[in-house]
Amino acid sequence: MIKNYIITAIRNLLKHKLHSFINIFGLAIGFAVAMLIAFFVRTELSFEQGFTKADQIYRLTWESKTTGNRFGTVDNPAGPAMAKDFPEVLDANRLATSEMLLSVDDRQAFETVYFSENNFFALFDLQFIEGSPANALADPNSIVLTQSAAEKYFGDESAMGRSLTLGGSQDMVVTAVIADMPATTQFTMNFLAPMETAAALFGGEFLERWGSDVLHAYLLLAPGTDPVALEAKFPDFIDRYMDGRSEFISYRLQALGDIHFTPNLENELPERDGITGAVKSFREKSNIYILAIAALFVLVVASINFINLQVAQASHRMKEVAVRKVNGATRNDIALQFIGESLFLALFGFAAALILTEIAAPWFGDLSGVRFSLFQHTGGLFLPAFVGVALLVGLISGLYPSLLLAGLLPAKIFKGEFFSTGSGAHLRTGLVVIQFAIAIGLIIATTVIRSQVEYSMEKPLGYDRSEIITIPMDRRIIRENYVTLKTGFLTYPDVVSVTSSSIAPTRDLSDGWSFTEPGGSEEETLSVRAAFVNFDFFETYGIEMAAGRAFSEAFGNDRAPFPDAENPHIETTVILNETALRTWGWGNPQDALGRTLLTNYTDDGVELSMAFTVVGIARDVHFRSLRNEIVPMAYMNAPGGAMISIKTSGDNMAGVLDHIGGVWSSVIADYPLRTTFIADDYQALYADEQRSLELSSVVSLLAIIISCLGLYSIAAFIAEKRTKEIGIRKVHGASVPALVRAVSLHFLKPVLLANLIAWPLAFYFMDQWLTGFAYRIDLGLSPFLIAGVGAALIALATVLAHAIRVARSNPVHALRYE
Amino acid sequence: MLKLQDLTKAYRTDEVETTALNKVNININAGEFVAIMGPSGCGKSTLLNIVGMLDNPTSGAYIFLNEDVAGYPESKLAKIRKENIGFIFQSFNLIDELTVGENIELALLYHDDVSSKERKERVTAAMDKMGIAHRAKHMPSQLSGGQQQRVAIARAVVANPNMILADEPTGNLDSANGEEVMNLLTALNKEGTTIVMVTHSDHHAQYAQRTINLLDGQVVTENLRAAQ
Repeated sequence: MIKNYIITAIRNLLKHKLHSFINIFGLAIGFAVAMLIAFFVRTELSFEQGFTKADQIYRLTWESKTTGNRFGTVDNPAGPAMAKDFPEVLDANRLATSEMLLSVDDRQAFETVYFSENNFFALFDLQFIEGSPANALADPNSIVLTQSAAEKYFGDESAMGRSLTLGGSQDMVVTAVIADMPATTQFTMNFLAPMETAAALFGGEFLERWGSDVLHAYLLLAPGTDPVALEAKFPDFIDRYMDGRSEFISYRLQALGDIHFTPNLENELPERDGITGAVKSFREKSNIYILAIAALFVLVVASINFINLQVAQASHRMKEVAVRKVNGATRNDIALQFIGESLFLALFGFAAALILTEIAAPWFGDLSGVRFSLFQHTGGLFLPAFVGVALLVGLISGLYPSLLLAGLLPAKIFKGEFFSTGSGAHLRTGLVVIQFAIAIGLIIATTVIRSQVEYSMEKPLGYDRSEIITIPMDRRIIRENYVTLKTGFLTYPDVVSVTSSSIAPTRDLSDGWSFTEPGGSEEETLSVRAAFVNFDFFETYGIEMAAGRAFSEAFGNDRAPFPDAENPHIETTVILNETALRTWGWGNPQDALGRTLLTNYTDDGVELSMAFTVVGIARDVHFRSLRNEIVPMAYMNAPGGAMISIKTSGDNMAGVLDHIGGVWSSVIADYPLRTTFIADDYQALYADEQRSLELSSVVSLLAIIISCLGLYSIAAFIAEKRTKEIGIRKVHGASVPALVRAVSLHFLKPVLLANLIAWPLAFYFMDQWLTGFAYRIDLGLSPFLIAGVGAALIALATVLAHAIRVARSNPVHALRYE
Repeated sequence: MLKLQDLTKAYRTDEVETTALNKVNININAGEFVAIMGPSGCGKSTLLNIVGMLDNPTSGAYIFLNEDVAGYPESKLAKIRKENIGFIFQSFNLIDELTVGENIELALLYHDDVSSKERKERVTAAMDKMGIAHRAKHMPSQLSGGQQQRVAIARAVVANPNMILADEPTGNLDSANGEEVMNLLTALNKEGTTIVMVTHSDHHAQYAQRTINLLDGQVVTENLRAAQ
């Protein structure tokens, strides 16, 4: 009997080859997409969860009450002080990173080195290949390497006991080799050295300096500690160590698992692993959920397709069912046959999905940044869950026809009219509507995301980001030779201008600053972000002045040293941005010129003061992603800073880079030149959005394709069913165009209905998504029209061929069919 | 063999009720060959469907082998049907995806007490009897109408039913093939199988021992054929 079922099933599949292919392939695509995205989502959501104590670990961060900016680092001594003061803080670990020149024999390259304390491995359990966590960082000259780092510098030989030099002077010995960082942790660590070494390299006192925030602090809280209750004790703690500071700053606990999903704070750890190239950029949780929902939708669309096609297919087999019943098949025999067949087909589709998944894995890895291999990474319930879904889809799609056909008396089946009318047709239309509603919704979402990302990429940001090259100024020798470098760079005709600054677009490294007004009380402070910029900064970045002037060497007062015991009072100039004026209610830019701002502070018991005259108002600039709002800014003129920026004409870029390299090596012999383009950094700001966009584009495209495949098959089936009706209409004089129109309209109706469902839902959810952006597009009608009309046109094209074929057929054949 | 008492079948749509059979009383004895005749729409096929337990009557009794099956659910009917009745249709009703052999085998598939070896033997025997053994591996679409109907008859007899119901078995056949089918049915009847046949053809009705004429859902005449 089983053999007979299998024979019938296979011959039926082969008889309707296209139909069968669409059915199985559609389901396979749906499952493949769902599995890949499920894996991606699972990976993202498991960030930091690999650490045994992840639930107890919090990062201590601080927030400026005046500007609202949040920092991933915290006052350097804060972590250990908390471990001492609060019994619920069991342990505290501090971490710093620095990009350093690393030399092994005659090889040298810049690498990001992590510095931490001995208890790092007690908080974060990492896998040791050689050495042991107990004494890996015990000696100040010890350094721990990841396997990839060890291989890069020492090849196949064991790295243990080998030596390397940091920063050209500090000799280190490899004391342990650990496995590469898991993909699901924020740490992009390859080299880990003791904090004492950092102290030796950068001057030891900074570790104990309050008010300096170069260290990340991780706290291990006692099990069951309420982080909110602990945070409530922080203001007193702050005042205990920094008198009165709690008025201006607050400390916050950030759960380790949340770091990956929080938009980057100031001073985050490096996102890119310098050795493996893995990028661990933060992800908007909403983007992950959008993808998860999209994938779920594709699975639903594919499943609906499968069910719909199986049901339609069953109606081709009414005669077979009747004949079987006449020959003694019971209701159960028939039900078993159909359910078994559908289960088999669904599992077959699932198997095809596994193959598709493996094929798509490398491409998906590039797109998502998450490497996937079915058989390596899908432990636990992952595969069983999907097999379960496949079985469920098979069961449902087999159940419906078997319930419908199996219970009927054969005489009714022979009459065979119920499939073209009644509940079967309604169900089928309903499912088609759901499919298209989902597909339309996905197109709308993709279009909106695309518009927002394009808006972000093209929005006038207030500065020019094209053709600007930056060079980090992280060595004293570079800062000391800045003028020589600048002069040298400028000798090349395509170098337009050169500046240095503490802040640059995409890299907001500004610091909090507060002013008072003359005659105002000490309490009424005006808070800003301070940016220290050199001459030619505004010219280099093309930042326009709303009023007044930019810094210029023609005005001696623009550049002044910081006050000290010898010169306790300094007078200089400042340039504000428009947001500062708006925030303070200073009226129009012209009126702000000439006003004075004061900053008073005490250093070693000496009262120091600075008086700033406002000489210019700069246009607002989006230094960071459009997710962040523009804050009040004060630009002050100072040498040094974090980077050199070079504006070029854009022509002959190879020549420019060549020239810069030449000047560089003639001035600074010991350190390799590193250049980046601001435009590249800007793209990186939107990497997460870009990726989400690409993924959701692919997913919604697949949803549309699957829906249309289904519609094509259903249309073929209905066209066949309507052959007789159309024959009769033709006999009575209906024209071919009229018939094509009628048949096409029949299929457009569900698509129009789908629009009615999809539009309001899509509007609601995309409006929600856009609220995450400080600067966002307005939701216009166009994405809705694009999706709605697009879906209708694609659907029409899909069914038109069938409609025309049926309408043109000879009515004699159609009627003889009966 | 079977007895219909005041058997009525009405079809109901939303507004109209159509009576296909109206208080029909018929007796058919075991071993009889009965022809049912009448114009289109007189209820012939409905009657055959009910006798074959493919459909339920609206009211009245249907006594089959001393059992009133009129109100039985489909599952029970299926069991009685497969043990007792074979079907032959005007349109043959072979499954297109199955070969000749497989189509015949179908009638034995749902009999749990028949082993697969026995199935093979009986199918071969039935094909031999109908002269289609050389077509065993062919698909129905490769056969002529007459050949297809012989496959259908083989399928109807392979399970050794007590009764064969034939719904216009010659309707789609030319006269030569029709004659051959009638001869096969007569031969089966001679072996003891009860045969009930719906036909339009007076000529073919002559093969039966008794003809029941239906008109508007009622039995109008019953005539016994003169002994030949």
